[in-house]
Amino acid sequence: MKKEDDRNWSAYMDGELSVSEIEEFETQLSDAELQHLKNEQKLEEGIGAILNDGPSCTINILDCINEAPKPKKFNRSLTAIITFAAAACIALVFMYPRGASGPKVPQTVAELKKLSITGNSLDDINKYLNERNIDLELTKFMPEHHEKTIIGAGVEIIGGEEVVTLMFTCCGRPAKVYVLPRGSSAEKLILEDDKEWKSSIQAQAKKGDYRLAVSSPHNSESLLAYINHT
Amino acid sequence: MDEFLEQIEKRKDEFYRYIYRNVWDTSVAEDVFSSAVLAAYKSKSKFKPGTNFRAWMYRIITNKCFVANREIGRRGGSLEEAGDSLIDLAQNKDYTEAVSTPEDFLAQCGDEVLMAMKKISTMERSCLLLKTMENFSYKEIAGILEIPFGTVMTHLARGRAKLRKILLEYAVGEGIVKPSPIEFKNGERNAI
Repeated sequence: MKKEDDRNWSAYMDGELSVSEIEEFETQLSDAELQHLKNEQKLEEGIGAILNDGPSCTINILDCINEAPKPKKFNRSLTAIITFAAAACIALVFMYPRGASGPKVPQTVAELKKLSITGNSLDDINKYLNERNIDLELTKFMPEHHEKTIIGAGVEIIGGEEVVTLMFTCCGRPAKVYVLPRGSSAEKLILEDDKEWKSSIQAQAKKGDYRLAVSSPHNSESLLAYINHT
Repeated sequence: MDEFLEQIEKRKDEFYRYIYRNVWDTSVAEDVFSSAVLAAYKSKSKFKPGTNFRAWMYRIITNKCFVANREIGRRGGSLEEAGDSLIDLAQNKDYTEAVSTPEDFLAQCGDEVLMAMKKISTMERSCLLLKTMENFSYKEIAGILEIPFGTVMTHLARGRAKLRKILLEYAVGEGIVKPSPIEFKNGERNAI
């Protein structure tokens, strides 16, 4: 076959040739080439399925069409109420400090980058885990559809304990994996005792002496498979 | 919510996924989505009822994606850099064997499929996404991208060839595909 037939090859796969064009095209093909074209069509379907397995839209359509809000004029009593409410909220925050130890599903990648104290390669993370005597090793990504990148690793204080946190993006959304020593008070707090913490965890799995817990606004359960992969 | 916005709401995941696969960044995708919806809403009087709403929206969305990709300086390869053609690949024994079980080949390539999509040109990627993800006809794609029918054919053929070449190179590099041994025949190197 000639190279110029490339466009027809592609159009044949897409069912875009006329009957006479199909007949003419097929006469040029050997049986092996016809079989290969069928395989190519299946490959294309598979690629379509992978591309369609992407993130969902979380944007409110109405927010898109609203122009920038105009400054509103408040009357005095409304301003007083708002000031009082704000003061009350601040007072409550100081009365019941949660600090950095409260649950928080990461919302931006920048947020994770601030927390990271390592580089963003597999080697950096593994070196960090090794330095902290954590018997875990990240290996190359498992083949699956959710695209991931490594942001880094860091430490958070949870339940009064230092907890190593691994940070990723999954389909462009931030995702944290808490590495919780099994039987630790952090594990108990996050997965059993504290409702807020429990609701912030999307998935969990045992890995050796640790329990891994994922927190992300996107469905990132496959991170567990990634870390469990050896 | 009016009827126009309801139509967008019904398809918002589909539109967003297309945008995300075109610009590959969540915050850029969100901006593009919002500005495309606003642009569509402002020009909704230009939409002729009874015509293809989906194609009309994709035209607006794709234009916004082009602008975003231009702003972030991502254009991918040009047509002049086109690698092997689909016909060349069909003659390549390593490739034909690799795709003889397409599902296995794709599973082994994993995320590289997505990475490969990033490496092709914006126009090739748009054509491929509109065909492979959204199943538009060539005629519809030509209308959405405002390019001739024949150019759609060229972009699709070249985009596909590049994508496959990238996957093959990845598969060989990772040992998923073992390259055929080379033999010397009449003084020339030939894969057997």
